[in-house]
Amino acid sequence: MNLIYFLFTLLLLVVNLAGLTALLSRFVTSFALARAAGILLFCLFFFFIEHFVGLGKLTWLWPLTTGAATFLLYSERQRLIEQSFWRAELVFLVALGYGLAWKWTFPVIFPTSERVTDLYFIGNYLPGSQLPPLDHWFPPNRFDFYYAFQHYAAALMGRIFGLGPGLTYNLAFALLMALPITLAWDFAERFLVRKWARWLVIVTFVLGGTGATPFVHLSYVQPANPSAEDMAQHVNDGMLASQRFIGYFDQRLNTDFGQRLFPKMATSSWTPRELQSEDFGYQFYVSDYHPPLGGFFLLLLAIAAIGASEAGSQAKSGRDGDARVSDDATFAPQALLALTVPVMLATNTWTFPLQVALVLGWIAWRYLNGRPPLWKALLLGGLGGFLLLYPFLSGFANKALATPIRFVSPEDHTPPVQFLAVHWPLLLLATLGLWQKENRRLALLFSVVFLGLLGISELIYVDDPTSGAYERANTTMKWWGWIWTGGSVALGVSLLASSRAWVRWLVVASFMLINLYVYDVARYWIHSGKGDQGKLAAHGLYTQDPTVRDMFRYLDKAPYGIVLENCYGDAYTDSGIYAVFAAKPSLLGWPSHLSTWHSNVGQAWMLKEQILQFYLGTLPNATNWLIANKVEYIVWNYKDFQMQPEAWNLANQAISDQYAWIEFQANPEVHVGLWVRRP
Amino acid sequence: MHLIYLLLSVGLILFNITGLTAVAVRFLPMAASARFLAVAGVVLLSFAVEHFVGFGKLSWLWPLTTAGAALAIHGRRDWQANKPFWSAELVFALGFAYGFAWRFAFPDIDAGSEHLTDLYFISNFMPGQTLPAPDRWLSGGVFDFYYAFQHYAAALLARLFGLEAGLAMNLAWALLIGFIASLAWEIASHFIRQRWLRAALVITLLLGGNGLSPLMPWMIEDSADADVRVAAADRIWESTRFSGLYDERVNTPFGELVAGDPTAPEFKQHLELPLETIAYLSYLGDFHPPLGSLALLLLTLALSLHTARAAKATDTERQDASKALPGAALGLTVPLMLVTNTWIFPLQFLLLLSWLVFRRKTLATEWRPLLLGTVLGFALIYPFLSYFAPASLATPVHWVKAGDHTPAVYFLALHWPFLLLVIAGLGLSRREPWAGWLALTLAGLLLMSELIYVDDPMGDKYERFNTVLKWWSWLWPAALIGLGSVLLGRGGRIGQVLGGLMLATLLTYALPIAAYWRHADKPHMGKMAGNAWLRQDDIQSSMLTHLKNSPDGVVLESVEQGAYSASSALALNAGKGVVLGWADHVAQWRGAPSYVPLRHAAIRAIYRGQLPDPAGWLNQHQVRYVVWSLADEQRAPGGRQQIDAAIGRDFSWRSFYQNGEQQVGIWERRDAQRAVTRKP
Repeated sequence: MNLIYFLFTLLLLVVNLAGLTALLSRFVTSFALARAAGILLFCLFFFFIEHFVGLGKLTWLWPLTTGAATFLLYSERQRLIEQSFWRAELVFLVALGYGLAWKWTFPVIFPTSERVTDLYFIGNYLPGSQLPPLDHWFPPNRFDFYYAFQHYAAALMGRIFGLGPGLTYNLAFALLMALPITLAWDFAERFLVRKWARWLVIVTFVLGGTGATPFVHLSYVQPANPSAEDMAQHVNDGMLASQRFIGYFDQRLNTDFGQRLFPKMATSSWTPRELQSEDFGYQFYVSDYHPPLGGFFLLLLAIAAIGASEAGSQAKSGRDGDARVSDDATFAPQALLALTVPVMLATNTWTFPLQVALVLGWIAWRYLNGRPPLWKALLLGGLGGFLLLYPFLSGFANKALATPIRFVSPEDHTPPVQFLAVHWPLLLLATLGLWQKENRRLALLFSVVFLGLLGISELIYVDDPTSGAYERANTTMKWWGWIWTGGSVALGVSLLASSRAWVRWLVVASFMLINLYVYDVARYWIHSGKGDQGKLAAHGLYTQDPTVRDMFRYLDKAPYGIVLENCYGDAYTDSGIYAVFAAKPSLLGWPSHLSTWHSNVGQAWMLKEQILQFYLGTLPNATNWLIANKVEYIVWNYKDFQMQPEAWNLANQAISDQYAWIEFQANPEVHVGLWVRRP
Repeated sequence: MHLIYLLLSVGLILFNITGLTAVAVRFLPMAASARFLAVAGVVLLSFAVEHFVGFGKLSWLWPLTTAGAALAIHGRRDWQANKPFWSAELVFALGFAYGFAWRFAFPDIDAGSEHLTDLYFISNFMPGQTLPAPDRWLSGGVFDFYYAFQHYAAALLARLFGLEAGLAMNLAWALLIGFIASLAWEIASHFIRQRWLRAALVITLLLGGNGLSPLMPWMIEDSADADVRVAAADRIWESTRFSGLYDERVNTPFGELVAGDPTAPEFKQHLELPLETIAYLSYLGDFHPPLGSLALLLLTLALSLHTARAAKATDTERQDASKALPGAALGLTVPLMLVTNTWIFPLQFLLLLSWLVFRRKTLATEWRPLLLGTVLGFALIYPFLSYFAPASLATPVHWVKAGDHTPAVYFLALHWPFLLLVIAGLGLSRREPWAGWLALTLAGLLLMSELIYVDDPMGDKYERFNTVLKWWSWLWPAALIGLGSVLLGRGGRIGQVLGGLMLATLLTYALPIAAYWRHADKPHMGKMAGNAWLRQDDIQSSMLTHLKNSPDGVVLESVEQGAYSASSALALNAGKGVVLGWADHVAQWRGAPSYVPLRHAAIRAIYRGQLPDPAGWLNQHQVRYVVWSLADEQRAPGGRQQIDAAIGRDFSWRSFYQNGEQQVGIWERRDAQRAVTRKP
């Protein structure tokens, strides 16, 4: 039944997107760009409108949009068939299928990395209130401090199709990961005639590692005959070794070669700096619906838009009479290119400066080529985007964390050998790109931008609250991942289009080395547990217990209101899990996250202490406290009961005149259930 | 991030104003006047209607107005063909940029001078209720006793573009400077051909001092060990507040010649007779009525000039059409002045009256639009007046007593540029009758300021303080721009040299201003919401965010001083009203009613745990939030527990900081707490 529902949902989504793509393809010549532009503009429009008025439930919308999409596809079938629309759709479906395969196999959301955080971000937007919405982790404050445009977009999809938070998360993940793949394919298709070359770029983009991958395989040997548990650990290590190489995995190498090349660096006064590089393919494994995903989407959108602008004008160039025609054809891609800049601000602020550099680099490159860009298109896309985001920025700009940019101090620089080990592919591609003559030296643009940014990333960093070994971690994680992802696609395609065979083969050889990572991915798939396979609602880990399942269902259906759950720690705990899967506000989210986002939040820590006291049954005036904090539901689960069995009685005595107890299991000795505020 | 937002906001506002100007210049072909008139007109119309029905939130409107502006600008996109329009826009933008730079560097809206008062005025209008708005400094009261049209305009700006009140105040301040600069430029353009000379005149208006400024270094010598910042600030104050304050600091023979020897026993204390220039007001940073009245003054001069010079045109038909709107607009300035700065209303009235006398020969064709404008204006402000007139203070006009006149030396030292310009204006009246009219009128008004004054509640040394502060500070820019333009543009070589010398000496005031800019601390540069001084403390910042996101309701903050304290800053920045704001101000505006000191005393008693039934008192005043700050905790340790015991039945305590027994936080009324999260 679940499968049927899921497949039908998927069908609806695909039909709607196909209709949107068909509509936009009237203005944008590439279907991949049309799809991306359609989704982006649709979400931006709603994001803008909902800052003025919350539209609430939107499930009434899908029958209309589906009808319109079907009508459009049918009435334009001739044009679409002629322009090989279905081939583009196939590319999209394959890309979507790959992401869905990951989510089908590993759908669960639990407190690892930022999955729960991302679910909470999405949950803020699910009720459809006027933006900025209530902060579900810190009511009565507003959720206006985070660049969560992609989470809004996910929630919008969830609201239109009436999906639960978990399914929204998983489906949005697969969709957002599919779009960059289609854009990369679009870019590759434009410049590469050979099919294998296109596939090589795509495989490197989706399944490839980093420059460190061959070194990992050369310098780390897995112990013989591992247990299943060890194996699970090894396959996880395999996934992250290439990405978290510098300062982490390079210190764990276990062969002579490896230890000679990358000696242990820790001293009594200095710990090796963790300098990670999380690229696109790695995100499938991490499985977070986190801002870098949206960042990659906008990066690839920019690259594909550049491709469309260049290839479009190239086809017509040489004949002056056609110059205007070519301008018309590249207007939309150039507007889209400019649009990526403001949208990046609301999607992944970390890579905003990088996106600006890419677009500015392209503009400069056009001038160097004596072909100024279409400023009208750039202004329309850029300013239009900023205007659509203006209502968001008015809240966000005042609340966002101040993150000053500083120079990298000497002790934080990347050790040269490690730098080379991770970045050799980009250094190689960019160097080759400098001499590339084809396509008006397009490769030169990408070489200068990506190499330049890599250089800059070694000079400055964004000083966020982390420090010590992690001083630069967040910066390199976001920047290097973006640089390598963009560099590998843009430069890979540009160089594989070279007329010189040795250049092509050099690129192929280096990509093959990087693609050793495919082995790591396959091994991870084979050896990882798949207990929750197919449970796309994402709470299988919790709802396998029938009591918890019933409590989840109850809260899901109950009217909107603040949920109180116990605090099990400062972050990455099960605190708030009931509320987040019911898309309801928690009295308190993860305090250490709140601390990061709002700098000093004394009241959050005090609230945490009060919650702990409440769950011990020792909080004075508990009813008053609950009412003052506007709590509607109180979760008392097995863990809470076991931690302090007698506390339930104390709490119940204290609050029962205002809160009614609902028991969710049969054993009279045990109390697991919910208190619900009496009307 | 914040800069991007700021840039966007500024861009959006300027774009909208440009669009409005593009429409307005079709009817009034003088860009600066058309711009200011259009903005004032829109605000006035909204002000009138909101006395019948409040518009509430308006942030949905900017996408529409921006689209409209785009349409209007589209017709003028060819900047080569529309050069006069775009160069006028450039002048306005430069003036705005100058004002913006001031507020960008010094954005704090704190307890200093009237910053918080102005924020409070604006704050009253923020929710967009039907006017008169509920008073945010006196719960239960109504804000109907102050001529806060300019603040209404700033609030409208905030409501249109979804800005915080503080940000809107700082941006509106810069906009006013833009209006003033562009109007001054427009007036100067009538007479002065050289752009640099016009610029010099406008710069003198913005950065110059009064007649005393160039004399100050010869009257008061800095002590060698004075801090640069203090020295600069002193220089800024000295010439503005010479009589009765800084004349007691003269320490040179020349100074003693002018003011007498302050150390001598026979030294007589003088009345305080200040003259504030725009440069001084920029340093002060208040968004106070004088600025608005200066813009109106310059509009009046520009319009009168337009009428006077249009009369020279030969085509009578065109003459009539082009005179109707400026004439009506001239008439409109009188009611506009009444709601913007009531103090100046008599002067504006007399200015227009003398204008009628001046135009007596052509009055037959001119009186209709003028009267229409005045009547229409009064009709639009009538709803406001119906509340304001009964609520405003009685301010009888009296003769200046014999001993209260300005000493002749002081008068000369302060007003010599004014007198020089009046003489020049009279001298050039044959060539420029307009200058003769203006010179005569201004001289008459200056004389009037020496003969009568408005008797407000202040006395003794401050008997004439408010009157001359307002009147002189308004008369001087009229002389500088109106007569200065004529002198520089029509006075021939002698006029240019004389005028140039005068500008140069007045611009010596820019030196201490520059020194202040260079040396003053700018810890909150760029934080233009104006509350960075409050938010620099993490606890206050958290409390502010919480209060801002909490439902509407009256806030109680402790009121220790009578005025110029941070009291109410938290509530105002959170968009809420307090039980009592600055007690002295509230009392003064309302004619010292007895309930203000009573309320003040009750609040002081509550915060010391000495009021018998605080819960009852809080109920009576419908208080929803009670703020307990670190200062309250330090003032009355243990007081919090006492209050909590007394009001805990109705209020729940939310702590934002705890250190042992010390706690800082907010009490929140417990009833009606459910509604917040029930409905998404």
